[in-house]
Amino acid sequence: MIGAKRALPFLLAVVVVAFGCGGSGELPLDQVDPEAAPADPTYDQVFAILHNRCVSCHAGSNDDDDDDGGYSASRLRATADDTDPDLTDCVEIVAFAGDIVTEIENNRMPPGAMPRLTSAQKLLIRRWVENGTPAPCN
Amino acid sequence: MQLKRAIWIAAVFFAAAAALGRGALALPQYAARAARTCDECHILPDWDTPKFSERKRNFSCQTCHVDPSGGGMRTTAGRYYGRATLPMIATSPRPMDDWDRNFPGLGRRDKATPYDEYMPVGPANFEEATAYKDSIHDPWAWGIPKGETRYGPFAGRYAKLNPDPVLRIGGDLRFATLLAEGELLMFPMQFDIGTVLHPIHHVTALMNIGARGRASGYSDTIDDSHTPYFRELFAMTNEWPYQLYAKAGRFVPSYGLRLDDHTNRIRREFELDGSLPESRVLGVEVGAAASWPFFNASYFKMNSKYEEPDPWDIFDVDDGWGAALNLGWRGMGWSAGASTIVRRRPLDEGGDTDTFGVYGSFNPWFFSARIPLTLLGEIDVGTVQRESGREADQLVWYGELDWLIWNGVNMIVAYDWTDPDGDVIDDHSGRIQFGGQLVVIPGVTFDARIRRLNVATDEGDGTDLFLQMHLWF
Repeated sequence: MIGAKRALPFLLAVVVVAFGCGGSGELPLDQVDPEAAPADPTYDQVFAILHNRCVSCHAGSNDDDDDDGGYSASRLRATADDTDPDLTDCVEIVAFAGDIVTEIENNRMPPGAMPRLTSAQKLLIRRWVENGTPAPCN
Repeated sequence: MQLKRAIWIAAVFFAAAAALGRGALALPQYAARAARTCDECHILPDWDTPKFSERKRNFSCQTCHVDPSGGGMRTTAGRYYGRATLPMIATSPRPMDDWDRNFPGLGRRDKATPYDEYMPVGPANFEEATAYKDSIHDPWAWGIPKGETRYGPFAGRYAKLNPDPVLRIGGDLRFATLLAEGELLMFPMQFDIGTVLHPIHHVTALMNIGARGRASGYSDTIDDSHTPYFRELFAMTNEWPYQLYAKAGRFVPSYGLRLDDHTNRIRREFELDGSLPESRVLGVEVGAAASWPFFNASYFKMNSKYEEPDPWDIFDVDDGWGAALNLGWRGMGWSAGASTIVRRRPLDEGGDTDTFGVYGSFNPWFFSARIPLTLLGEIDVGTVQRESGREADQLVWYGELDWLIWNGVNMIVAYDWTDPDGDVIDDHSGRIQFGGQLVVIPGVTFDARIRRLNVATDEGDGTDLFLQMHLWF
């Protein structure tokens, strides 16, 4: 019991400090530094982000939800029409580009308590979409 | 003959390593906690205190892990800790202070440590250790280098474990389940197979092969974009006075608290995410851990931030270079350290980064058996170059409190917070997690966490339940 009593101040300190921390900054990244992301992002730059942050779930065949014994990432969140994009595939990345931007800018993806994308990563993908999703498969 | 058979087994394991995987790292809370009693890491005879330069007692990562930077393959002391202290049911002698800390109705104090009749026995000094070589019975370690060194581990100090094997094979396998937003996801998170070759004293080679895990399931884990790769591959000269070492090859630079949670922002924000090939560098590192003070310093070349390095060609690096320094003091009840890592590279390879952090642990348990708590914390500040070339300020911190209720039953509350760009509004976020770890028998850890991410805009806050089974040997 003594251990628990002494633990309480530590716990309280952690919680107070944790929730008392506020971020800084006053403007979104594209106003703070318009060149923070390239004006003409390449497909490779977009792919690198998706590869590290999205592909661990959004990859593989989307026509068979049960190919892994009943568990499939596609069930985690379908971005459009109840289908899940294969973000290793250029055609599907382009096809779902709008949904990707919506999901990441609204912080709905990555899901749960997974860290969200940074402002620079979001800005780069948005500009790529605004530029018409230039990609080798277009 | 046994060695030959072991090499065959190693070959089979390498083939098996071409399978799954992601991120096996160390648990710094174990290091902080293990300082509490000596017999957590080796049996406790009346040992003659050796000269300072010959002491192997320290609370550095290299006490329990072959890689001095931490993570993966375990040393004999690490394996002993995993058998004696960590689990609910110990298979090596339980530390004396833990005899009454078994889970009610469980534990092995009456078998592994029949303390009513006798204490574990071992050599009292270096000279006596050779007499214990015949007592070794260790099915996962083969051979002992010829000759002797006062700076390596001794026979008899780790029960029947081989203290300093010529060849050892180990592994870390993690199977994860994530429940988020009502959907269930099961996936292989890690499948690492490591081999340590130690043919003569002072020479060690470590090869750790793993593959990136894939949450979409088992059949998708191996493909072109998630191929297996050398997670670590280096040669090292070690077992020198003050536990001095030098290594060269592919590794993750030593920096701060090396958590096993690769999504934690004190790792991810600084390109130290243990699950990613991009976190690996090609370099040299030197270090030492002389009982209390320690340091690790490295110089390295790396691949572009935007490109995966070649899985097998460890010399696949680009133009940039980096350096890291990690130093501090690890005492019995507390530790404090400071780390810095810098990278210099062209903008199109990721630009320059400068990071500085302080970290530490506090182990009140060392001061009172009634407070079985361990505290860990780290604060990092840094700059990263944006595409424009301008610098953005970063701030990240982490705190963790562990409460070991009984041996093998640990509760955790942790929080990590990040502001990845100090000039940008509403891009900071914090994550709190509550959970526990259960180690019933050596080699099997169950970990369960409820995690809550709070983003600055409140839009997109998320909660999940993360479960994992970690098999380690």
